[in-house]
Amino acid sequence: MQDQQLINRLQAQDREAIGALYDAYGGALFGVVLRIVQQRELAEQVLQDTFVKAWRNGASYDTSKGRLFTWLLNIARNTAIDATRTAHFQKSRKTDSLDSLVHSPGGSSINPDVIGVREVVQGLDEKYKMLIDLVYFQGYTQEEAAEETGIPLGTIKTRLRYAINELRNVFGEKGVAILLTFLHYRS
Amino acid sequence: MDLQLFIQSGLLEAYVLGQCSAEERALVERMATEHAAVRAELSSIEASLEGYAAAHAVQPPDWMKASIMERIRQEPPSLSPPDAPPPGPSKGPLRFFQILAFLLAAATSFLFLRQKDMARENEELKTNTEAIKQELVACNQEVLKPDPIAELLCDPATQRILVSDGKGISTIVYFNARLNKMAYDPYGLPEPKPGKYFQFWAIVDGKPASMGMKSASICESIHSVENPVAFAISEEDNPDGNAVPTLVLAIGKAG
Repeated sequence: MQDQQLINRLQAQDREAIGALYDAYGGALFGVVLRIVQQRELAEQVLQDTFVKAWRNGASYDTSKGRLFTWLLNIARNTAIDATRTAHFQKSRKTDSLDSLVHSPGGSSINPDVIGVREVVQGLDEKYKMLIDLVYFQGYTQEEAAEETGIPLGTIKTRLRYAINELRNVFGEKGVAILLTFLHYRS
Repeated sequence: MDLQLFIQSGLLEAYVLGQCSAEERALVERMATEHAAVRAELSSIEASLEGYAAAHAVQPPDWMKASIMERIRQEPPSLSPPDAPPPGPSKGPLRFFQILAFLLAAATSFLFLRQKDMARENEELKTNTEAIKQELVACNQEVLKPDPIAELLCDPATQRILVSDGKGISTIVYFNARLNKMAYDPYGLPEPKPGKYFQFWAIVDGKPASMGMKSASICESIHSVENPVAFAISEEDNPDGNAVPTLVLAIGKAG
């Protein structure tokens, strides 16, 4: 009900609705954005941009397609993913393999769910584990992963989706963490 | 289609995160309409995402809200802008059409404005063309008008009379008895002494008639004269000339 009121105000172009949205979801979105971009300053910029986009796109939100939070989450994720696609970020990201991220002492403060996720991923079949490592931890796009491994793009997509579903179902919260922060999980 | 296999395919997660194609999106939406289990799974995925995010929320800095609200205040009213990623559906094709629509709108606006500009330019060009046409007509009339100097110089009956002092002062006077016109070539004359001026004369009926002060060009040197017997150049102190020559420097006989 609270969401419905927020949606009505947003679609009536009530600017204060953005403040209410921020109060309701700012923290949850900031947590997600931080996990994706892993740089506080960049995450702050992304979060601001997220709410500005929410304002601009408020009229296009369709309640029949999903929750208000999911809509905001996708704006935040896409904004965060775009922000990470700078050459600098790609470069620094690709130097970190799964192992180095897991054992990085500085990583845990900003990315608490990295530790533990490794164990979860280890539980997967080798063919999924390799893809998760490339795409999730090393920031490869699905196209780059296909090129790197020689596996057809269609197969990569299917396997990643299966792995994601498996992670969510079998490993619960940690699987959801991967789903939320999956960098280049794009068609 | 095996419903369980469909649910486990990972497509529903992709749908919720807006990561699937238009075809896949349509398939998920159709399956969701037909199967409660698909709707339940979609709802479960959304709930788990929101639940996890809420449980791991990080408090943004205190200044953040004010900064966002300030930016929102500077924004125009939201209508239906191009980059809204809706929940579930793939962003790709939708974004393509949004961008296409935006480009079309931009192109239409551009063309409309361009057309307005062109209409204005066209009007200006029309005015300019009219002005040029009138100028051209005036020019033509000017060109077609008989040029007295050309007529004088080209007429085979025009006499060439050398007016010279036998030293440095020397020019040709052109005289036509039919046209009763004279002109001279001022270019070959030297500069007069400082404070002195050259004046041209025709001797008619034994009296000097002024043909004006030395002109800057042959065109300006043309004068009417009837039955001259000679032409002369005098040196004068008055820049506007005198009624009678002060000092005759050179003379040439007509005929």
